[in-house]
Amino acid sequence: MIDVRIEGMKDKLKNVKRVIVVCSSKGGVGKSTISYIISSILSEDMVVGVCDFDFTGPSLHILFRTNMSFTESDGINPPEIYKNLFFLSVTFFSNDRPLAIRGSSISDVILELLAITNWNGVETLVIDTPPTITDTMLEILKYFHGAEFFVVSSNSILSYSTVLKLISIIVERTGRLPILVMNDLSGVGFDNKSNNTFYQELLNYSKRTLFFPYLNNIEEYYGKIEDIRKIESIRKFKRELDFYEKI
Amino acid sequence: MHEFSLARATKDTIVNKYNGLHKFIIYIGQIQQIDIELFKQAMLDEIREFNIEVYFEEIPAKMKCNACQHEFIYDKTSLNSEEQENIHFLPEMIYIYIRCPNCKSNDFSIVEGRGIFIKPL
Repeated sequence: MIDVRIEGMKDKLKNVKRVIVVCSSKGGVGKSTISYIISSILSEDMVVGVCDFDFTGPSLHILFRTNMSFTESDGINPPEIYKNLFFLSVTFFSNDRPLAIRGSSISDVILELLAITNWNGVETLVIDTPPTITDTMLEILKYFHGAEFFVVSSNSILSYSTVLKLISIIVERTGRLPILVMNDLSGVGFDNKSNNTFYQELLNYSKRTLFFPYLNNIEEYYGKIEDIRKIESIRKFKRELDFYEKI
Repeated sequence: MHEFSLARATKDTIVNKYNGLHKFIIYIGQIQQIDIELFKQAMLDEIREFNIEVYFEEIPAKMKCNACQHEFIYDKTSLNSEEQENIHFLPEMIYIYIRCPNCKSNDFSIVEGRGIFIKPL
């Protein structure tokens, strides 16, 4: 027996040219913030869809400060929460109530959402993922083999060591190196870790690294997409992001 | 209605995965809560130009509680229309709105009656 949603998912995603998966094996490293900012800055130049695949702990709706929901026609149409920016979250269906699901159901949620969602006009899809290398990541690795994986690490030795493992798995599954996004959460930069073995191994292994700037008052920028785009350090990050897309 | 999307996905599965076969049974899980008549009609429209015959069978939903092992059926009578609609779009919302009738846990597994599957005859 074959699950029909796999063909449905392919059909709904057939016009999406680029998929960016923001992931990390470590929690609290800033994945959702980076998903929020990447989708905000990319949608300056193209039509972007952003999916919150952290089904049990969704937070992108808070970052975007949106309570918009989908409309329905031959599937569901994600709301355009800002110009050229479309958003999908389980909160549309859960009303932000707590959801506890076992791993076996994660695959069903991913397949179902992607089989019924119309990404009309969306060129780039940004997927925010939960931490760890469990069902959601494994399903994404299965269905989005050609995606660009942005692996996020904070400035911590614990983060370096776990992220190395995720990079290794992504390389094994996709045959390609992901982009490492070093998130300066504490504002002290990364120089103080330059002699750390894990840090050196991480940079040597990943080869393609983006340094995400320290944002002192990020909560003030929730829902302020236009303001985010004007921050000089974010503009610099965008130029680096554009550069990586071209190589 | 996402019945049309599901019907198209079902037709695509038949055409792409079962090329050369002509007779199929389509199992429709009860938790999917799709409008069966609408789905059937959409399906017949999708396959009109193909030499394909389809039969439909709805699979009742069966759950098993992971806490007390109690087995129970999907009873939507306690749900309001919005909750039913949310489960219709994303059946895993059942874990928000349904509890084990024996121990009230929401840690249960769907044993049968989820999704849409095709089997050639």
